Amino acid sequence: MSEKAADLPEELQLLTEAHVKYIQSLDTRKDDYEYWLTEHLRLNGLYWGLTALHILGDPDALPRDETINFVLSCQHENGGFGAAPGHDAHMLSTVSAVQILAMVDALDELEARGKGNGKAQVGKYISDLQNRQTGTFAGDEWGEHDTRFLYGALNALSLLRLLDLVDVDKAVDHIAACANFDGGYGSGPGAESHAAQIFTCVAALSIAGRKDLIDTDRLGRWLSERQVGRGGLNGRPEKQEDSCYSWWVLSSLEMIGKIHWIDRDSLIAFILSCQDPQGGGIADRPGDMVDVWHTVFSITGLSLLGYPGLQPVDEVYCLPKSTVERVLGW
Amino acid sequence: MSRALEGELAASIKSGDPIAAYRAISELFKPATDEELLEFEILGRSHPFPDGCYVLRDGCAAAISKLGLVQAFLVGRKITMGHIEATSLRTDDELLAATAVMLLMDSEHLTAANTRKRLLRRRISPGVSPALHASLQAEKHFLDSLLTSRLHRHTKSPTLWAHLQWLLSEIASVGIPSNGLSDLKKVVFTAGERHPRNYYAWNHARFLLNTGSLVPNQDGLDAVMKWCTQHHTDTSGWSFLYFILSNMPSSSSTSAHQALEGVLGLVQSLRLTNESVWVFLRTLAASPVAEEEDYSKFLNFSRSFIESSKLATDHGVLRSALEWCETYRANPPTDIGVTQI
Repeated sequence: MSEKAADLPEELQLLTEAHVKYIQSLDTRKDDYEYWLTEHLRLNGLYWGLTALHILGDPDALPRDETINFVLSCQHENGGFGAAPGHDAHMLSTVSAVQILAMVDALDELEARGKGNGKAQVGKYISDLQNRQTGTFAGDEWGEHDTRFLYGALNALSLLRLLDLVDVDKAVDHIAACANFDGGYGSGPGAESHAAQIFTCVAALSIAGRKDLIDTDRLGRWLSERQVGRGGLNGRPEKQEDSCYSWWVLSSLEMIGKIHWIDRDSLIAFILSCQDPQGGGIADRPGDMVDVWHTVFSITGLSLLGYPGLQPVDEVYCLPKSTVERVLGW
Repeated sequence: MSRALEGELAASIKSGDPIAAYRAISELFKPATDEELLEFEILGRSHPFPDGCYVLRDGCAAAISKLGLVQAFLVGRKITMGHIEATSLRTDDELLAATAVMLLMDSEHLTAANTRKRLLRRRISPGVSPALHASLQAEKHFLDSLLTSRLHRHTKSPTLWAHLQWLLSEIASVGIPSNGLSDLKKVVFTAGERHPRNYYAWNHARFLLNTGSLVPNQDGLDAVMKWCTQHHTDTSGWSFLYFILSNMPSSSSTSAHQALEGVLGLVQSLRLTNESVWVFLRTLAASPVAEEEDYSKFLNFSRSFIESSKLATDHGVLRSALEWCETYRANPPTDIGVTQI
C-alpha cells in the first residue's frame, strides 16, 4: 500500500475528523430523548465507537476515566454486564465490556474495582452460560442460543486469559455442526448461512486454533458472491449491499486467506460513498442516515483493505491489533 | 419507522401529556377476549393526530402516534427501572403494561422482555390453572401481534423471537399442546412477508421443527413450497425449504424429487434467473438430499436454460450455479453439518 490518504481524489477521502466528532457527540446528548431510546445497547455502542476511534488513530477522543467508570457501573454482582446501569446482564454486553477495558488497558480495574473476584468473576459469568453437553453458549439465563454468544465467550475469555474455564473442544464441535452444505454457517446447526454468523463461527474456530475444520474454498466462494453491483457487499444472496458487511465478509475472508477474492477498489469506493460529509458517520448505503454500527464496521473494513492512514485491525477480535498484541502478550 | 427523532418531534415531546399518552397506549395491551391478532402501526409526522389523541382503533387495527409512543415509552421506562432498582415497587399488572409499551417502542429492550419473563416464571407451577393458561396465551397473543404487525424492526427482532421461543418452551413444559404448522403459517409466513429475508423468523421455523412442534410432513412441505413460489426472491424461504427437505423422513425420498420438479417448473414458466432460486437449486441438486437422477435432471435443465437465455447478465448466476453444483456434487464435505432428525 503506497498511496497516502491525502493524495486520493475527494470521493475517495475518508473524512476522519468528521467521524471522530460524530462519535464524540453520541454521548453528549443525555437530555435528548434519543439517548434513552438507545439505552438498551449503550455499552455495545461504546465498544463500536471506541473501536472506530482507535482504528481512526484517535484513541483518546473519549475520556478514559469516564469510559472505565461507565463500564463498571454496568456490572452485576454475578460478574456479567448489562447494556447500561440497571439493565439485565447479557453475554453481548459483557463481551463489549471486556473489549472496551482491553482497548483502554484497564482490564486490571476488574481486580481493583470489579464485582466479586475480579476477572475470575467475569470469567465465571461467561463460562456458566456454556451448555456442557452441546458446547454451545446461551446469551443469558433465559436460554437463547446463537453462535454470536459462543464467539463472544471465546473472544472475552481469551482476552481475560481464562479460556480454560470452558470446554473449547465441545464448542468447536458445535461450530462444526453449524457448517452448511452451501459453505456458509448460521446461528445454529442447519440455520441459514449469513455473513455475520459466518464471522462468528470462523473467528471462534480461529481462537480455538481449529481453522483446519473449514472448507475454505466452499466458504470463500460463498463469501466472494457477496460483492454486488457498485462493489459493496451484502450478507446473503440477493440482498442489498450494506457497508457493515465490509467487516463481516472481509474479516472472514482474511481469516481463511482469501481476501483477494473481493475487488478491493470498488468496495473502498462504495464504503466511502456511504459517509455523511456534513455530520460525519457512515450509513449502510449512500444517502441513508448514519449510525455508529455502520461507522465502525465500515472503518474496520477499510483497515482490512489497507486503506491508508488507519490503524491495523485484528480480524478475529475486531479490536486494534495493538490491543490484542498487548493483552495476549504477543 | 426510524428510531431517530426529527428535530421538531423532539421538541414536541417536551410539551404534551406523557401520562395521558401512556394510559391510552397501555390500554391496547389489556387482555383481549378476541383471538385475532392486533395489527399495530406507528404513524409519524405525516399523519398528525388530534390533540390529546394517541391511538386510533378500528377493530384489531391500532394506529399509534409516534410522538405519543415516545412519551409513553419514557413513562414505561421509569416505571420499570424504578421497580428493578427497588426504589418504587409495582404490581404485576403495572409492570406488564409498562413493559408492553416499552417493547412496542423498542423491540430490542432486553430488560423489558426479561421483566415479563420473570413475572411469568413466578406464575408457572405444576398443574395448569385457568389463570396460568390465560397468562401464557395472552403473552403469546402479545408477541404474535408484535411479530406480525407492520413494524419494521419488530418483525425481525431477535429479542422478541427468542422471547417467543422461551414462552413456547414454558407452554410445552406445563403440557399445553401447540400447533407448529399453524404458527408457521400465521406467524412465520406473515413476519417473513412483512420483512423479506427475515433471518430470525425463519430461524423460528427451525425451532418449531427441532422441538417437534412442526412435523416435517407433506402438509408442512407443501405450505413452505407455496410460500417460496410466491416469494421467489426470498433466500430465507428457500433456505428453509432446503432445511425441511433435509429433515423429511427417509421413507419419503420423493420429496426432494417433487420439490426439484416443482421449482424447475416454476423457473421454466416464469423464466426465473434470480440468485435466490438458483442458489437453492444448486445446493439441493449437489447435496445428498437429491438422488443422482435429480442431479442430472438439474444439470440438463440448466444447460438448456442457459442456452435459451438471451440476457448476458443472467448468465453469471446461471453458469455459476451450474459450475458450483458440478464441483460440489463431486466433492462432498467430509463432515456435513446438515441437521438430521
